[in-house]
Amino acid sequence: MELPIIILIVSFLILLIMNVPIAVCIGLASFWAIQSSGPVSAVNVLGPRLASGINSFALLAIPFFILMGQFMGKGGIAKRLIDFAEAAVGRFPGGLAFVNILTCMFFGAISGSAVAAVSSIGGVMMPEMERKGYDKNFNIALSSCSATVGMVIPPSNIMIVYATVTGTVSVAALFLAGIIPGIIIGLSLMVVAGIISYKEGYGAAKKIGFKETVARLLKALPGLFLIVIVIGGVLSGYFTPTEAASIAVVYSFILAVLIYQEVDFSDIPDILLKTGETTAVVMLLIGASTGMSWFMATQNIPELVSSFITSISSNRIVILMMINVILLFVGTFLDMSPAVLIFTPIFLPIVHELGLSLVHFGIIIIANLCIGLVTPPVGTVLFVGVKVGDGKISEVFSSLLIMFVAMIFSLILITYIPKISMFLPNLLGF
Amino acid sequence: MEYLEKFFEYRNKVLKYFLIFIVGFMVVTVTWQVFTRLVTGSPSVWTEEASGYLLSWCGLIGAAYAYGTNAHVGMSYFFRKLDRKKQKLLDLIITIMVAYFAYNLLIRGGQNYVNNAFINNQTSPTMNLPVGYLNLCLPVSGIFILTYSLEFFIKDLRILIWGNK
Repeated sequence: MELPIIILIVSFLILLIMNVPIAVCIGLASFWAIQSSGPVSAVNVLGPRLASGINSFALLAIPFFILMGQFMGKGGIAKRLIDFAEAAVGRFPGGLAFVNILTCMFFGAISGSAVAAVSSIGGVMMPEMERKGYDKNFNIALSSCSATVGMVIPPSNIMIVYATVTGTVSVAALFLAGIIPGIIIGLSLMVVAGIISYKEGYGAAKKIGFKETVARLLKALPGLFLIVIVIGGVLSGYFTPTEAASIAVVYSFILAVLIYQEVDFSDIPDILLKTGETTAVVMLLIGASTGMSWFMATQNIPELVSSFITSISSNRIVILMMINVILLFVGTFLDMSPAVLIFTPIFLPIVHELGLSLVHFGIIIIANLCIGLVTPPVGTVLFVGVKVGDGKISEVFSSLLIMFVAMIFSLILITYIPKISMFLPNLLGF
Repeated sequence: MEYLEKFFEYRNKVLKYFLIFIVGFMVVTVTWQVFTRLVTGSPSVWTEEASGYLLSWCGLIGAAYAYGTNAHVGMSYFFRKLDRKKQKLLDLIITIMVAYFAYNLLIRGGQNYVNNAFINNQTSPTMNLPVGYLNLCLPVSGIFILTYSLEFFIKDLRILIWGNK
C-alpha cells in the first residue's frame, strides 16, 4: 500500500478513536494524505469542496425533511398513530408489541429520525407494555429495532445522501425501492415478537370495533398523508424531491401549527434553529467526504478494494456477503451518514462489476447500516432506547440477539432477491 | 476576560439568528419556486441557484454553531471510558484538531476560493451576483469556529488547572 493511503487510514482511525468530530476526522485525514501525496495543494482541493460539495438543490430536501420531522415530532401525531395501530394489530396475542413495531415504522418514516421514533413511540409504548406484563428488556430491544425501519421506508434523508454520493441514482427510485424491504424488515420483527409473545403468554390488547377503527384511521390519516405527498409528488414527475419536501414542510406546518395547534408560533424559531443545526452536521460530513472521495479516486482506492475483494472470490454470492459483513462491522462504530458517504464510493466499482443496480445496492447498504444503529458499542438508537426504557445495554443484549437474527435474515433476502427492492421502481418505469 | 465572555455571548446570538433566518429563507425560496411554476405559470429563475448557496451558508455557518452546541458527532466509546481529568486533557487536543481543520480547510482554503472568484470576476449565472461574496461562507465559518476553539480551550484549561468549580 502506498504511503498517502496509509496516512489516510491511520490518521482517520486515530482521530476517530480520540472522539474528534467525524467530519473533522475525514477532513484532516484527507488533508494530511493529500499533502503527502505530492504536488496538489491540499488546502485548495479540500476547502472549496466543503462549500461546493453541498451547493446542491437536491440536498436541500434534507433540511426540509428534518424540518417536517420537527413539526410532526410532537406528541399528538405519535398518539394518533399509536391509536390507529392499536385498532389495526392490537387484537392479536402480543398485540402491543405489534402496535409498537407498526407505529415505530410509520413514525420513523414521517419524522425521518430513528432516534425520534424510539423516544416518542418507545416513550409511550414501553411503559404501557411493561404495565401489561411484557419484559422490559424485550420492549427496549423491540422499540429500538423497529425505530430503525423508518430509515428504509421513504421519505428518508439517508437515501438523498446516497443518491448524492453516487451522482446518478434517482431519489424517486430509491424511495420506491425502500417500501417493500421496509415492510419485510417490519414483518420479520413482528414474527419474532409474535413467537416470543406466544411463548411468554403476552395477551392481546382489547379488541376494537370496526367503527372505532375507522374513526382512528381517519385521525391518523392527515399525518400519514405526508408520505403520500412526498412519494406521490415525486412519482407524478411533477415535483423534484426537494420541491415535494418543501410542500411537505408547508403541509406539516399547517397541520401542526394551524390545525392541531400542537406547535405554537413562538416555538418556530427554535424549530428552525434545531433544523439548521441538524442540517449543518450532515452537510459538514457531506462536504468533507466530497474531498475525501476526490482523493480516493485519484489514488484508485475503489479499484484496489474491488480487485482485492474479487481476488478472494469471484462468486457473486460470496462477494455480496463480504460487502455485507464489512458494512455490518463498519456500522457498529460509524453512524449511518458517514458510513454511507465513505463506503459507497469505495464499493461502486465492484457493484458495477457485479451488474447490480445502484438503486438495489442503496437499499442493501441502508438496510445493513440500520442494524448498526442498534448494536453496541456505538448504536445511537439503542442508547436512546435504553435511556427511554430505563434499562441497561448489557441486560437488553440477549433480547436484541434474536431481533438481529430477524433483521439479518431480512437483509439476506433483500441482498439476494433484487426483485424485493426493484419491483416497485421497475413497475413505475425507473 | 469579561469582554471576551460578552463577545462569545454576542457571537452565539448572531449565529443563532442568522441560522433561523437562513432556514426560513430556504423554505420560502423553494416554496416560491413551486408556487410560481404551478400557479403563475412563469417559473422563477433565480430560486434554484439561490437555494443552493443558501444551503452552503446554512451548512457552514451552521457547522460553526453546531460546534458550539457540541452537536457534531464523534465516536465517544473510548472517550467515555477515561476518567474526567484525562477527558479534559483529550478535549484540549480535540479542540486543537478542530481549530487546525478550521484554519487550513475553511480559512486558508476559503481565502483562495474567495480570491480566485474575485480575480476572475466570476458572477453567478442567474442571480448575477459576484461569486466571491457568495463563497465567503467558508472563511467566515472558519473564523467563527476558531472563536469557539478559543472559548473551549480556555474553559478546559481552567478546569484542568483549577479543577471543576
